[in-house]
Amino acid sequence: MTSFKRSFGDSCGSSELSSKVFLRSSKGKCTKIVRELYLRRDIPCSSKLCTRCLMDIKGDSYGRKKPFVLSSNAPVNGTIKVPHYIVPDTNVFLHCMDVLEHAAITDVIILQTVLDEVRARSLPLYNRLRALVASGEKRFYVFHNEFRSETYVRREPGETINDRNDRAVRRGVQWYHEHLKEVASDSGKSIAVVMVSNDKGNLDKGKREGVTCCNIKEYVSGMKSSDELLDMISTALENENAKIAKGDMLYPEYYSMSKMMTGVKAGTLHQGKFNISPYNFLEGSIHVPSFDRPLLILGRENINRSVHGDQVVVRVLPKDQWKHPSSKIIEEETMAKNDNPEVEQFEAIETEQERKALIDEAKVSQGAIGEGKPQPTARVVGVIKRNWRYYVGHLDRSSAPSVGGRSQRNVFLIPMDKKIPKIRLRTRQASELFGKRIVVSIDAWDRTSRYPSGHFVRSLGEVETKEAETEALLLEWDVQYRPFPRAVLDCLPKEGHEWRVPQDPEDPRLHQRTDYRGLLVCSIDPPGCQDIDDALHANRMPNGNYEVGVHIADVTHFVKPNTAMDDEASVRGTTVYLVDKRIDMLPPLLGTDLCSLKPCVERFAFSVIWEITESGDIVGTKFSKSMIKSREAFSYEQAQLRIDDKSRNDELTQGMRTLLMLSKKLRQKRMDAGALNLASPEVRIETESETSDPIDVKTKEMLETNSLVEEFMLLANISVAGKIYEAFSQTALLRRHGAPPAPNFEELQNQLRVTRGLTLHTDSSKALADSLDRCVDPSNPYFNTLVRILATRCMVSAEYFCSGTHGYPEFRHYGLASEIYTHFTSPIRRYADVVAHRQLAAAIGYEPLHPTLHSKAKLENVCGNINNRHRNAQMAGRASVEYHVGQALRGKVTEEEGYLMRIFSNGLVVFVPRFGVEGLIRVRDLAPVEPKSEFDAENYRLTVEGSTGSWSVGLFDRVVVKVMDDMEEHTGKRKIKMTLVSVEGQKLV
Amino acid sequence: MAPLQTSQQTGTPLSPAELSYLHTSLTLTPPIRPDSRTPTQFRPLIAESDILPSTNGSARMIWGDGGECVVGVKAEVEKNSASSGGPRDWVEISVEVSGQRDDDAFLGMTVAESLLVPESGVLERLALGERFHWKVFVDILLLTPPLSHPATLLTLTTYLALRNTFLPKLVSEVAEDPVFDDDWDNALPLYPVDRIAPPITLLVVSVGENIFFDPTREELAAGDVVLAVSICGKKVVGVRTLEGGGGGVGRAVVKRVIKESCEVAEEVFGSLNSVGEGD
Repeated sequence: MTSFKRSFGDSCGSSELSSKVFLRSSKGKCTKIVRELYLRRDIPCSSKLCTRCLMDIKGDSYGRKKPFVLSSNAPVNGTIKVPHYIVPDTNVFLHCMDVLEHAAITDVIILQTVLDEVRARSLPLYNRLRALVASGEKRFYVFHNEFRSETYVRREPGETINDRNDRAVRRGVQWYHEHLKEVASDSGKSIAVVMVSNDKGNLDKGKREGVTCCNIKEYVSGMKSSDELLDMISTALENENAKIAKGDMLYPEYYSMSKMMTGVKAGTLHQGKFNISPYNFLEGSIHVPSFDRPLLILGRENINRSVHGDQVVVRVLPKDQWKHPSSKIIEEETMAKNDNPEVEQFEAIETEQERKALIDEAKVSQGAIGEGKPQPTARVVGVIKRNWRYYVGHLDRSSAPSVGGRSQRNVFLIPMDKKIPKIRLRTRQASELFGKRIVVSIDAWDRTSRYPSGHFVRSLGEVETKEAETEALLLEWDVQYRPFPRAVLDCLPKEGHEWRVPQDPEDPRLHQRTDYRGLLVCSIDPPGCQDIDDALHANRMPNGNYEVGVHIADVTHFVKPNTAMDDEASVRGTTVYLVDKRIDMLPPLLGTDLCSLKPCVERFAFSVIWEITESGDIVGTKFSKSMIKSREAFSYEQAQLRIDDKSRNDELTQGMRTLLMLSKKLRQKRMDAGALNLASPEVRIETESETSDPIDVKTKEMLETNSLVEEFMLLANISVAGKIYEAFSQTALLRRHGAPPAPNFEELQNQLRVTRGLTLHTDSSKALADSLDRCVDPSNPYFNTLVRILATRCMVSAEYFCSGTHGYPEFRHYGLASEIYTHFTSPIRRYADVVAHRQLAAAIGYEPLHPTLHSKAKLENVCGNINNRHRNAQMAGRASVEYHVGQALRGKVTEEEGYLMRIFSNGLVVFVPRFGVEGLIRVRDLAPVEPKSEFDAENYRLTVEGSTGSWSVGLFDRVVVKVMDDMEEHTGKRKIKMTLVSVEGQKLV
Repeated sequence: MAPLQTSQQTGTPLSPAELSYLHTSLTLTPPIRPDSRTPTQFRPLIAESDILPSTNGSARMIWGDGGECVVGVKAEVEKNSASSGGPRDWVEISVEVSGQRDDDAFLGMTVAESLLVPESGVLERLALGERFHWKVFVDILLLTPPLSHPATLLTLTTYLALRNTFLPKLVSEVAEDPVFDDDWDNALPLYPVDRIAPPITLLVVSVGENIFFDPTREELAAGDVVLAVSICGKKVVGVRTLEGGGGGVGRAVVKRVIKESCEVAEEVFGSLNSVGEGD
């Protein structure tokens, strides 16, 4: 009896079919993965020279064919003197992406093998590479060599995956070479294919196999802008070959990833985001879930090569190594002045000076042990994820000898951000780069090197030119400032500026749109505002109540979900306002024209209309898409004047008076409920109208009309939040402000108790608001504002969230004392409002909700991004003000009143309200010879033995300082510099 | 081929006269088997390993009478827990016979109990550091039950599958969560060549003084006693009477069964081990 069953071997004979097997292990699980590959012969080489591939390709299911990418006029350079395409290997992409992004490099073939490896190693780099391919300008082509039968390579037994991939790359190059040779015989034009690599082994093998290949450095040095390009090559790549040779390890080794994960899971190690203190570059802290307070990380060895922002894993140190946070200002600049970037041999991680500073501190904290307990300290044992980005800074002039020449040498870059350590750079352009703002990227931080090493990316221009500084701060805060791409602009209405509200009542765009064009609507904004997103009106109703309306620009009419414009806006997240520049979230056609509620023009709006009683109670709320016609666009001052002008009694003015009256009542209610009145120093910079050069600084005035607008915007936001939460309990986009944890206030409470005998209650926002009101010092009228500024710094920041991720009690907005809150009123400049608009439109049945807004996971991503962007935009705005304040004061010397905000054993931080800036005064700057000083940490007093007798200052004391501008050597920023003139009326000089 | 509904327990397709004839020819010296095999000879079969790419090990066997069996072995990482039965639970075997209820406990047991022979070292190879271990699932699927008893087919296929089972190579430290080498080619065999192999069970039928290996259905019907002999390495680790034996089993027969089983098993091991080596 025989069986007719076939055996397995008989059924798999096709040569076009292959499979690869590998193991993937993650989170302790292990999966065997089998991938079947169907190999093809019709994947084109995409060279415009090639006629064979053109005949072979079949196009997609619609018969569309992608145009060929690689030019028939291939580039030639000094190293490869024939027309050629280049095929870089994975390492080149990983370490020299900046070079490849340079305009000089064109016609590049990216093998799929390489692309996959890049993706596995670094997603951001992969995305940059994808963007390069997509842009099409530089003719980058992805060749799917793993799917073409001639170029597919099987892993040989015992071969490492890297070797196999290298072989696949060489095979790909070889195939291209042969293929183009055949093509050349058709057309008579020949094009070489060059493998570019940095791996010596790979290059040698390539040469042996007859592949044209070339080291990346050799390749680049044959080009015109070779100096610049050579600098862009990552140092990590250079070190790769020499790394093994070095001996001395300065830093402890990192734990293996699996050891860290096991430890974190078991609770013996802790993971969190690493932060550096802005006052002390040797003091880091990390907030981890298992401790209420942040863990301190002190000294270079414990910081162990972490950079501000990295996700790290730490181990808590034994109790005898616990310390107090530093009471001393330690700046890298003064401590590490004498480092030489060229010499590495005698590097110790901590220099003598640094060690001394640490010991001094330890002594101080030893003495103060009676007061507060020392805080737990920790050591970084590994980095989960580097958060390295581009850093802007300038070269340290003292770090390189002044001899010119084009030879390559090491220099230090001092980042603008004080929290980032110096970066060692190898450059040939040192002499040109001094005095410029330059962008660098960190490549690696070896155990053998005291500082991280990086490479040059590009130069922004001279330090202190407006263009360079503006671009620098945009880069520092990761603001997208490139012009809007074509795809986004294509989403704009075709009519452009000619777009009008349709007049035909049957027009589908008017469906379900209420006509409010008859209402006397006006807008009140800062002077010169172009993107007007809100307008208001108020009427007396026949029943004696008031009808109040807030009309918000209907941005979502123009920005539909899932379009390029929507994607761009969601990435940008917010409009960024700098002193002299605005970086828009939406293209200006929408922001400043079609959406902007300009006066005397009909516009689409999203309206919230309330019925409010005389006493400020809300009787009814309705929401509708509408069209309005604003009668007037006021500035705050103009509106104030109009209201105050008794001779004006027209309906519009009456309406504004009603709004003002109601807003005061609403405000009182809010304050009674415990809303906080916090202060942040805001200044306005007067600029010369022609050049927009700053000429003076003024503190911003608060008018009644400011709070008028604010009150109704808050009301609208709260009403909308309630409505969208009711409709979408899981996916409403809301904004919350958590109650600050009590320990945040401890320091401030203690300071107030010791210096002024005041108590600060922090049990609720109401208690805090009341006790802040009581914080007054009759002799110091600014004291209250000062305390409010400090209290603001103890708060946590408000955040956007998706309603499904928190319980209702946690929705609370602490600062506004509102149960629920969202952002609805500024859709032109905030993406959160755009989402809220869409959700509200769906909630009132205007249009169905787009599926992406149903997905909690997607909304969480959006929230994460806009929270981040929002914070960065604020920081960029502040940095811009700071820069302009410095510029405005350039060359001027004035005496100003200031207040002591922080006190250290070797310095004071003075806040000058007039300019809204803080400045640091070091004890050693008080006199030519550092005077003796004594610091009483418990009473926050510093006593200094001056030449004219001793004097002492305490926290919150009023001082007079001489303010002048100063070029800060360390960061290259022009900042204001202060010197002490008198303390509490007592002259020092 | 549709399986015959009549099983050997309930009745045979042979008439009493045929049975008697068969019995007589099998008791001769030398015996004559209906298909002219020698007593220790197996029927032709097809055996192949590694037929299921995503398993850790697999095999398939086709018996000459159409019986077909597929075995797949999967290994998963599991946390050690105090509550379960310890290493006893580290191997789970399920047998599924197509067209039959899958609670045929006997077949599973035969395989399972003999798998974790202490000195085979399997348990040590399953341990992953201090806190984890491999859990091995052996899925035996009898696609077409053979006309004769399935025990031999089943254990031979399982043997082949286990012999070709590989466990990913651990690269992490003992105390850590396990992390593995990504190269499947570096995976380690569950049963290395030089260690004791998984057991097999051979079916032996005795007719008079003679014993026969790999009996056909007719031989089973004519036999005096049917024995299932489990062999591990060079030792017989179990003998079980499946059928007959009403009159007892002669001591001489048992002795012979054990002696010859070892010899036969060695040949079987040898030939099965060469499966898959060709490619």
